[in-house]
Amino acid sequence: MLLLQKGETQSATVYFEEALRLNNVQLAVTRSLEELIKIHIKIKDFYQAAFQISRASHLNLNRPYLQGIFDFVEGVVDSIKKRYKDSLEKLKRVLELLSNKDHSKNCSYSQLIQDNIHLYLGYSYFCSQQYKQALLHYNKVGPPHSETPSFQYNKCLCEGILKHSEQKFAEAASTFEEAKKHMPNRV
Amino acid sequence: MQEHYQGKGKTNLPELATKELKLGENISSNNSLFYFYYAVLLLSRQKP
Repeated sequence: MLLLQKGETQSATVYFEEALRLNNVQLAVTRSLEELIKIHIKIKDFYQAAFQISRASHLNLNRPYLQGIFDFVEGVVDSIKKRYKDSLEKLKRVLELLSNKDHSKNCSYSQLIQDNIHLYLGYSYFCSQQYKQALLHYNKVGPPHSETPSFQYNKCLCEGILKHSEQKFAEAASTFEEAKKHMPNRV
Repeated sequence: MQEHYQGKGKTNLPELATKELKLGENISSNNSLFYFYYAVLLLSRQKP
């Protein structure tokens, strides 16, 4: 079944690519590029998603429609490359866009970004040492991301650091112990 | 054909793609829309 699903995605990718190659109907080209980017986001291949964006200048696109997903991908890539200030700037802009109900209503990628953005915003805030903001976003992360050991580990570290800064040392220590349980080889 | 989902991002695309591809004569195989609809149909197959 998994192989079948992979096969369908690969075949679909070929047809989306063909739509881009012909590049003669803006709507189809825009939505094909969007679908290709979504496929890469779903498997967390953000470098490939960013590569798709780099092709945008050669294509006949509705760029304002895609701006949100472009900013999201670039924001995540910035966080991977440790450019946290740029990452926060872009991801906050996306969050603002998603809060616009008219935009979200007419946009087919808004749900996918809603499901992912708090994870990456939390991470960028965490790495920028803004722990309260990070925890705020970590608390909004839902399954399946919230169930991964790396997420639990980062969230526990964030909570522990906050408790430590509030001088609740015993609580901080037990939170750090909990973090260790999620990723024993990391500590 | 484009008007059907212009600005309607949450339209049921597989349904629309089936409808549009059935019409056939409106979409030639050198049109981006043809390949887009076909890809959407392929993707929709993998959903349970």
